[in-house]
Amino acid sequence: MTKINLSDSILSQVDKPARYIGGELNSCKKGITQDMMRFAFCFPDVYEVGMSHLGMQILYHFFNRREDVYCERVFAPWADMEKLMKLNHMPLFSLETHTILKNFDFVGFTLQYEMSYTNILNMLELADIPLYSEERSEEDPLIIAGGPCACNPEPLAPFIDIFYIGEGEVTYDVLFDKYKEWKASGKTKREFLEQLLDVEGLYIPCFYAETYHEDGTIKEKQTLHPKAKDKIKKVIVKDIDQVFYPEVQIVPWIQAIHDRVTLEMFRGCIRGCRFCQAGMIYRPVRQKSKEVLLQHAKKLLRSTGYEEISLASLSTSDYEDLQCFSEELMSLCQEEFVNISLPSLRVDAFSVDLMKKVQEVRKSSLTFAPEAGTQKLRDVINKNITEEEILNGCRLAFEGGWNRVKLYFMLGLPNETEEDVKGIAALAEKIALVYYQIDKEKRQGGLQLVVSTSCFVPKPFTPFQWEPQDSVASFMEKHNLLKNSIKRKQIKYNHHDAKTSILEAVIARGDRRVSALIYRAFKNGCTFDSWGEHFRYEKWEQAAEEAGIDFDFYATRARGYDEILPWDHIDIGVTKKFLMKENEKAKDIVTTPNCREKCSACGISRLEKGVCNEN
Amino acid sequence: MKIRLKFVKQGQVKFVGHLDIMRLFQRAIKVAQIPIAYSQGFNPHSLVYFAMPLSVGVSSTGEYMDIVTTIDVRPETIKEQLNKVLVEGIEMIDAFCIAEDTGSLMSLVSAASYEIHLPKATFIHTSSAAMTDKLEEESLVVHKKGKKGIQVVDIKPMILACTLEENSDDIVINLKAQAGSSQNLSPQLFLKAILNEEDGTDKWVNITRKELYVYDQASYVPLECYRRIV
Ligand code: SF4
Repeated sequence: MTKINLSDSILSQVDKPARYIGGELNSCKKGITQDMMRFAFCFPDVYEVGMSHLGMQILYHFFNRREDVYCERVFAPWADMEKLMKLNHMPLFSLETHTILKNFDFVGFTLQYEMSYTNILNMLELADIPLYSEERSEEDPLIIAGGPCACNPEPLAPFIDIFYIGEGEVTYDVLFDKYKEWKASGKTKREFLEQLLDVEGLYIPCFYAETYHEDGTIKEKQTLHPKAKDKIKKVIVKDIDQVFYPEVQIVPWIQAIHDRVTLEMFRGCIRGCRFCQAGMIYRPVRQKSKEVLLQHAKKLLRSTGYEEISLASLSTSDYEDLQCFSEELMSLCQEEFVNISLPSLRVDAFSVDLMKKVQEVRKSSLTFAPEAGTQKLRDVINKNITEEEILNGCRLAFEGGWNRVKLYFMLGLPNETEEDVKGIAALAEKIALVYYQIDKEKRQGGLQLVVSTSCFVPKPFTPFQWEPQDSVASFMEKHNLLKNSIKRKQIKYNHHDAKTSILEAVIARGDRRVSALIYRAFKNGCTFDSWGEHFRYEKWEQAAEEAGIDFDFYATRARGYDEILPWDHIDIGVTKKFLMKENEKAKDIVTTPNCREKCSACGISRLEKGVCNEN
Repeated sequence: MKIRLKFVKQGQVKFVGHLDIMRLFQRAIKVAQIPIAYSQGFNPHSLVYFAMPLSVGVSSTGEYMDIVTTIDVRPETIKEQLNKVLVEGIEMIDAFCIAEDTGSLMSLVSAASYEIHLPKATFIHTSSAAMTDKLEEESLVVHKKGKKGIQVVDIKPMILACTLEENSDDIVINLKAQAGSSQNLSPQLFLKAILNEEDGTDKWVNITRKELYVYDQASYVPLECYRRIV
């Protein structure tokens, strides 16, 4: 069997059957030829989530631009479909041609968040592909993984054949060409993997091992092959204006989380917030020119018929020339009756003004992320924004007709005291007062402030990678403290579940031994862990016991600068020295200027283009 | 200019729901660069209208859609442009101008015809003879779950025509029944009334909606023949 028979009877029994049928507007149809390389692009979450993801849309069309490659999509089937698939002995299949995964040359997973890892194992199992690399045969597809979480590949190392470190547009062509050659040569899979040791940006985990000290820390990172490099360098796109960008986007059948054209304005971020992994691993900032962006916008609106366009970036306000660009984009969108959505704006006069222009009706709420409640703590995390700026921004927003504001904060940041937690409530109160100081005639009635907190998770390749995470008990105390500090009924408070964050921390900074935890959790029935209603902490605890994993060792333990970290063999661009310096500055409560003000020599400036060489 | 289009929805795309199909059309119309008109106001939307929703899993060879264009275009051209863009399973098969004062599709529909295939292999307790008997009775009462709780309805008056045939695999029912906003008999409710209870109602049945009708001058006229401007 190479294709499954997705019968009407099965489809009629599941919720949202359109998740499984494929054939959407702008999806790719190809005649399959014998020497075509087949790539199954797997997103380890449900259709609506995966289809909202820009990276998948880019790589899908990037791969399919090659005639000798056919890239198809695969998502995690929802529980109802999974049950029916098992009942009918139907293996996991691709949307485009309903081909079973075993029949592909590559099965690729995108690693967007740690809590999707059990879904990866589940998808492999549903595909009848052995989970562990060493158990797979010559006939099984190669399992490849990339995306932001691949920067610490170790917790998935035993399951994955190839990790791709960096931006997809750079090395996949090399990989495909080498694969073609290898397939024609009739050599073994191992020989192919050996060849890949020469390719920049690829990490082949079977040629590496870890040994441990008695206290559980890593003793040594070993290479098991003479050609295995000590450090695997991230690959990055040098000329962002020239790089491939799709002219079409697949328009999902059912309403996705984000159902719109997405314009990638730039990669990277100039800010350097010390908790933010994206801000470090996507360095350096490379922004697309206004002309290129407008071209993309035109083509994508034409090819999708979407009624909304969103500007994607880590910090939209930092786009140089945002004024001109937004004006031109607005006039383009007005002609086509298209709305603009602007996430990730800073709170300043310009942004509020811009929001006013793009949203004729102030229906939606404004979202700001001060991240910490006091100036001290904002300086610790290098979130370069003052209270005055926040209050000013809110005042402008209220005067501009908004009455609903969402505020995002983090709890459990390094150096946080009780005062900092209470500071969140105090800041929210000050914002409320700003609202009430405005003349009744000039403001919208019915203030609604929503304060949301997430639990800080220390991530690899951030200045806080050595820092301990708070315990569940401490998070709960802080939740209560904050809840009790908020007195005004117009301010609502909600918070993330601490237990999910603990696991995120364990996996994010996990070493190779953590793979056993993920495996056991999966075997205990955990999937869709990022979905609150599916998350079962007890099962993870049971898995930890079975796998001999101590959550505290990974989550709440402080690491020394001399400790070997599980991701030390990955060169993400920023140097360890820089991260240490930043962590020390955090301890001294000293901020670092952004990349445009002054280069801080983070180590990535090996590129000829981009912000690093502007000053 | 008001244009009425007739299209089919077949194959797995029948599992895409009505609202999602509406969104698809709104987008496909833009992609096909049809000079569609927009409503006035804060949230302008394109002027595209549909007839009666088709439930998920039901195919159709007789769906309708009205659009308003800003300039005069040949209906035939619109049909072709859309077919170039549209996905597998959905195809425009007719397009024609209608008078500006023609009522909305929604208000016009008063009957629909269906072809229903019951696989004999799964409907073991049901026979065409038994169904014919039921159909010949004076009334055909069925419990219907609605907003106001369970109601007892007699569907007999809503059946306009019904024939049964058998081939080697299926019992084939051709049903024409009242449909639309005032009186509506869904094929699912019809089946509930005439199937043997032991066969249950959750087995897969292949249903195709064949045509929609408007009640005009004491007869049911297919929408494609109604007030067509040539
Ligand atoms: S090298 Fe300098 S300018 Fe470039 S990303 Fe690093 S700190 Fe910023």
